[in-house]
Amino acid sequence: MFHLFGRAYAFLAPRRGFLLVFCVLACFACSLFVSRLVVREDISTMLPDDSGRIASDFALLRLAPFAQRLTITVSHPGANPAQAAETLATALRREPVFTRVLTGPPSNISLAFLTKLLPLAPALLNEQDAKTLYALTDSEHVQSALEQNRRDLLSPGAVALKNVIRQDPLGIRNIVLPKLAAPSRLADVRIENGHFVSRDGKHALILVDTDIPMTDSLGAAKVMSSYEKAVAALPQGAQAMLVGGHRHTHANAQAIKDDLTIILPSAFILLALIFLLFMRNRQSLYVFLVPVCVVGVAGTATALVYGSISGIVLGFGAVLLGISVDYALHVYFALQNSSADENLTPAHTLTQISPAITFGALTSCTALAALLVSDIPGIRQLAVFSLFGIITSFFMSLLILPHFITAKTGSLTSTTHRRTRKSFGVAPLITLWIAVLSAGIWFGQHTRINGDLREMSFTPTEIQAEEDATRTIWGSMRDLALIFVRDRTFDGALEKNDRVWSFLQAHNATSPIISLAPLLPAMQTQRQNISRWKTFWQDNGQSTRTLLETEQKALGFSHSAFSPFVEFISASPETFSSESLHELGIQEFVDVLAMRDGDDFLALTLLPDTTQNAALLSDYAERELGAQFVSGSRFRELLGDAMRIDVLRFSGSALAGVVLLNAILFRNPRKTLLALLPIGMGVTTVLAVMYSFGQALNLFHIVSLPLIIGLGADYGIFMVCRPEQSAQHQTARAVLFSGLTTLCGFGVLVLARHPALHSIGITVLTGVGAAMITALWVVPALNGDRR
Amino acid sequence: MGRCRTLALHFILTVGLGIIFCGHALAELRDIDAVLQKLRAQATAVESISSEFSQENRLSVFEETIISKGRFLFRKPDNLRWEYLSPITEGFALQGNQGVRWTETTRTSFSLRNDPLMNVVARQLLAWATFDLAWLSAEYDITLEADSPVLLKLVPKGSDTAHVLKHLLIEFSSSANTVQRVELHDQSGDLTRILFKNPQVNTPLDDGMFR
Repeated sequence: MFHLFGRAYAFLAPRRGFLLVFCVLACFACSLFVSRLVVREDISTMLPDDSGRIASDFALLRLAPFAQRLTITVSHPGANPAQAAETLATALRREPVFTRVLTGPPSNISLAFLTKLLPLAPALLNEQDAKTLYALTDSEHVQSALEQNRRDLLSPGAVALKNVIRQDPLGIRNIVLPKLAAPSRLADVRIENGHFVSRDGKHALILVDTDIPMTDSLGAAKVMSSYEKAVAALPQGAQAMLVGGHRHTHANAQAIKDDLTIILPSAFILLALIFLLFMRNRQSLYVFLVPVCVVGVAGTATALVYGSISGIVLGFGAVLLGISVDYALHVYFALQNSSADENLTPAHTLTQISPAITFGALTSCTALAALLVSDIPGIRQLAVFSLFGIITSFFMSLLILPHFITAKTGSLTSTTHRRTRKSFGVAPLITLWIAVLSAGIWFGQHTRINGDLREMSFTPTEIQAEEDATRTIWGSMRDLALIFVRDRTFDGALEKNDRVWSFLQAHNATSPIISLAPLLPAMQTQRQNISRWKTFWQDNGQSTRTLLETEQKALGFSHSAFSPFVEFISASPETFSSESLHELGIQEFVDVLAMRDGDDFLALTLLPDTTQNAALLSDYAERELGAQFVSGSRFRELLGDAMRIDVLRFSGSALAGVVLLNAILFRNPRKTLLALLPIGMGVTTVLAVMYSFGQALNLFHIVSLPLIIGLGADYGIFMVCRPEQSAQHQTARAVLFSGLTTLCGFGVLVLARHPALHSIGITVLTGVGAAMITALWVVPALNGDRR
Repeated sequence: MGRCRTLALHFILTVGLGIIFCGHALAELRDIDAVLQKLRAQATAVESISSEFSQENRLSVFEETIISKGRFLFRKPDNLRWEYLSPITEGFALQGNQGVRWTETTRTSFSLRNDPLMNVVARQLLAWATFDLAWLSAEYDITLEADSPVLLKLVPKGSDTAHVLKHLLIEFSSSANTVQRVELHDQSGDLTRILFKNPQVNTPLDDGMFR
């Protein structure tokens, strides 16, 4: 089969010109395509997309009240921050990307608010509240309430209070009002002259909505530029802090773009330097061109498969430069030195070296293909990108590159002389393997896995500081746990929401609990409340009226003073809908805590993200309530677990595939173990380094492991095959240079500011470094192969 | 001839009265601006006010008109004391955003930031005491009802306030630097009238009066 490459060489040799034109055109087309690619920096591509809990939790977390919304804190030392906030809000409203800008509660909350709220009391007062009604109708309370009413009616505020007092002389409103407080606990905020203001009065809050998803990097850039434009309108001395997902997306996209502008040119320059300094041959430029073409072809193919490409995957292009050059280097060194043997034509040389390169490429592909079993779409995209890259490099190295390499005239360099010595037996090899495996298992067990997505994204210190300051000023409004209930009807969702509320109350969940249930119960609950209300006034209405008449006469109130109250308790109350809350001007609460999700309605409860609350909402309780508990801490825990499973799955698949391929190639347990040694050393070194520096493995460290497996296998195979090849092939030199080029590619990634790219760099730098050293010095020593 | 004289007289009366009427309206426009500016200028010279008041509540919820008496103190920039001395004893004092209110038996602190009703009341009283023309013009349509003494009628602009308050009448003293009468007419026809007596302007007021 390997004669095919020799024959292909013979067939294409007279058509070198055509090959050159074809390659130039193909590379130009791919480069043009790649330059116009839509690059996505959406972190959701790095989350499992199976039908499991993580995907649904992440989707629900995005529906949290402050997930999509931007919060802006305005301060103006020595002046009124609310005024500065209003100026900024006016400027923000002029920007089309912002659909809604709120500086305070909806302005239609009027002086008549209390008189409009009171008719809802019969449907709102629950069993516990009904007990308070007994206290309100007690003769002592009636007397003191009327005395207070008299005082209030003589005070300067009497104009605003008169109608409220006439309708509610006993203060039933005081049972209803705390129900409004529940949703308003969303933030540590108070209202001053219609503005959201901090407790100390030094800051004002602006809430901004936009239709642009926070994961859309281009949209986020537009949001940020509109914000910057609006901020210029702030009066001198005023400052604004923006907190929101869009800012993170923009910062990440910017960091990746900045990193790419450094990484890609630096990688090219370093590779070029290696070729020019150590190879000192014009033909080495052709070898250098292979990875350039590979990145273009792999990027084009991946974009054709997925429609776009992740910035993180594209950043991996630098890594691919290091891998894809391996085969080209191997071919280059073999062909350059083939003239030493007159019987060895380029076709013969290609036939000789192609098994090692083929098996190297196959093992790399197997290791990378293992990534396809991952539940994480970004990792699968990475696998596709890398597979296209390896395959392209393989064919370019064996079919196209040989036509541009001519044999070096003169004798072989001294390094090609073979010195052999007795190889070690199997026992030392097995001992070494046991040591490596034991260390790997020990470090593997003691290295933490971190599933926190926040640590995988780039957060500049300025953003972090402003987020901390915002949290200090307004409380942890963005760090709450959520309980979602879902139903086909709005009232069905409210019914489930009522059950969740009752459950949390009954089990003393950690407060504050923010729910719509006290303010907008389901129709069934409202009917129960109304029935209880009617029964109460049937039993106590007459005695209360008598008591009231006696006291009002004694305090000089007119006969008709409280007739609105008498009518109110005698009337037949009705249920109400969310529309009534809209008329009251508090629709905002409903909008925050109830929403549509496709054809379903969702109702949401917010509560502190504590272990006590998480324990309360066990799987069983969730099933019983028909609810889903979602919290940042639980999400991170679930993601960590899923990643652990994913690691085991694709690392296991990669290892199994590589071991199997090696066993097939060598059909010799000793050689197989030798060839696998660089892999074992590489992976163990990574785990040891992570453990030693107290670092936890994140998603991107894990993604890099199959690469170490693939590269380590390549090096192992090349070095174990070396004694079977012709002496002139300079395999060790090829492995050394390919290792160096890979390390250069990854070395540049270590410089990246973005944690994802940096993690890949540091992992592969240590892993590939160890694998290369093992392949170059340990494997030949154990194999008795010295040149 | 006599017919012509009659027609001429009618013409002169019609045109003349028209001119006089328009001229009066234009003069009134100029007058209200001039009066308000004058009041504002005089208010800037006021550092403190100490005055007694008598409040007459003609409310449908009470069988009889209730007359209460009390004391009003103001010191720039934002110190207030409003207290009833009979028939009830209660009141509040304010320094900036912090205040205290009391009855015969209780005394409690409050912050305007947490008490929307007191915030509204204090904002109104301070606006009158300092004649904050910008704020008043934003909240009310102001017309001049009489110019000696100056009597202003204020109709609330916002539907929120207009829902309960029909209009206010404010009468200034002839020296025009203090308010001598305020009437609150609500939408149901009830009336609250406050008459200020013995005003003393720019006399020293002790800090303790506002705490």
